Amino acid sequence: MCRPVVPGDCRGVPASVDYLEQVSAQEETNGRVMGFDIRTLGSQVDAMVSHLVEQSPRTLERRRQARNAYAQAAGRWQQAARTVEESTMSFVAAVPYEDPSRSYAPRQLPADYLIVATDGSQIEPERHDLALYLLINVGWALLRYGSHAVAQLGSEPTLRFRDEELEYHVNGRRIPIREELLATLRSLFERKKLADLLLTLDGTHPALGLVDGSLLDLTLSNRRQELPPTLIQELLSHFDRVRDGGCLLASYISCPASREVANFARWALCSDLPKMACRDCSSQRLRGVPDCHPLDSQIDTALLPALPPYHRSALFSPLQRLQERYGQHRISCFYLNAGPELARIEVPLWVAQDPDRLALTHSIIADQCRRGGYRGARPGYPPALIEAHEQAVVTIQDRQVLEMLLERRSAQQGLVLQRSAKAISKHMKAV
Amino acid sequence: MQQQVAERAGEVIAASTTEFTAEALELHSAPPFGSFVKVIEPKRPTIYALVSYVETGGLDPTRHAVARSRPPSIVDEEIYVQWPELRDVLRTVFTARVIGHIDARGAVRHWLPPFPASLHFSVFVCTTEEIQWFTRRHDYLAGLIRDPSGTEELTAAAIRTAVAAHSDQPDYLLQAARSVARMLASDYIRLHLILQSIASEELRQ
Repeated sequence: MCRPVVPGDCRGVPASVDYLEQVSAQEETNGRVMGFDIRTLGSQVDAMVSHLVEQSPRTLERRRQARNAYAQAAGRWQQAARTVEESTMSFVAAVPYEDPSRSYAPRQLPADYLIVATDGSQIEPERHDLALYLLINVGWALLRYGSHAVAQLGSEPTLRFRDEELEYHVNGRRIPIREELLATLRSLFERKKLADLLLTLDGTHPALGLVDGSLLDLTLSNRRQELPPTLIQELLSHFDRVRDGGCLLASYISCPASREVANFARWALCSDLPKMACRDCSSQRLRGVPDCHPLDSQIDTALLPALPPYHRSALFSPLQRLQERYGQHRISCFYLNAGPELARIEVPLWVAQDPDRLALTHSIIADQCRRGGYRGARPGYPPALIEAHEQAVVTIQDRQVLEMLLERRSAQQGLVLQRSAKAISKHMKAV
Repeated sequence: MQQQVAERAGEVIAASTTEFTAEALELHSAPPFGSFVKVIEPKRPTIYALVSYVETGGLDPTRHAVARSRPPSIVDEEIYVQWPELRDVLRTVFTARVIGHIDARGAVRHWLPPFPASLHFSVFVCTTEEIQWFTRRHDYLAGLIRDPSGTEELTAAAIRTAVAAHSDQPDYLLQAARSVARMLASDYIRLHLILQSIASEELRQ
């Protein structure tokens, strides 16, 4: 998933006192600088930092308690997993398939392997534009390693402009394809392209299909009423194609903020075993705060045991209700020490339950992280995903070219398209 | 002697009356500095130019190349095996200074053509015979010498390439040197720089 272009991205601006003084001095000389009122913002940043400093000891203590809880749950993981699975707890947890207190090393890689990654970006329909349309651009990278190392990079834009392409018709309602619904459509395009590319391979060497972000699309659950019921089948049909083609499938989540494994550790602190009924929490009733509160706001990666580079955590099964609809493609996850961070890797059930497929998937992603390391010193982000992302990105310039093309071709056909007054004003930037 | 076939070297991606820039067909495979290249177009003069600048970098100028070697095993060519995508995200481009053209009657003209090269047309490396034919006279050097952005290095490289294409090398070199001396009669420093770069060991003695 590509981030949208943020105009005026201020990364790299040194937020030091010197810088603030410099800007203040500049403002005194030249009047206020356009953009942020940096002096007003500076005092708010100071307040934020004071808050963080004040919270720090409490945060550390809560984390220590949360880690203890995780260690306890991991020590009796089979019993804990059974209880959590059968519980009525309100939190979405992930239960381990294997000992969660240890780490798992990658296996030796085969001499040759292939990886295909897809990523996408989109242009949302915008009423201020010349006409109403949406664009999905799917980028891909097919990288082959070993005896015949070679790369294939490319992208495929799709323009949708007819009413039926811009709206879903669900139960007699017309639902505009925007935001999360558009992201889900984009995911569908990405998965289709991934399967298409994997199926062009001759199957001589292991091949992994890798996507950015979660394989479990929560929009399918959160906005189910606004999506065509067939959409999930269509999405999963591409998972079928990958599996039936003898390939592997996984997704990579950088800097994951998931809390499902942390929620599993609530078992160790819960005052209401075995039901774990959060709605009728006895500790909340008696003491005003649930016993498991140290696990609030804890993310999985803060609690896992130390993993050596390229090692993975145990495999976990997240218990979202949406999983039932994924059927044979139920998602499992593990965490991988990718150097600068623990990445979350998601795999479908048919990879998770096959030790060879799982080990191969782990080893290929670990190798990708090795290749993605900066200056060769540390593991990093998979090159296949980097290149797919680069191919998928739609820049402001690309968008301008598309608009220009639309304007010119329409004019050639005698059709004059007009922007809104607001769009014209932004375009002019008159002073 | 078997006739050489002109080798395709790149594709024009920017062009003006005085120069064009082409993307090399393969990474790190631009024609050498000072080599003669041409662009052939239907119903247009064939443009002759000298490779004046070669550069390799990211296809996307915002992406910078970073060091990737892990000695002792992953160095040099092995880096491209370990990261095969590099050949797709890096590119080599070369700029060529236009020095003349072949007009509609097939005559060599040592002055700028009426039209710049068209974008996306092929750039070919000139064969030895073509270089011989184009450099029989030395007038093309005048344009290079007069060009305020031109360097003595490029003029000298052009002469060296032309000398290598001629069978009577010492004589040809002497004539070229005399022509440059006439053109730079009032600029001893530039003349000296060029002569120093083109003089063979034999001539120095």
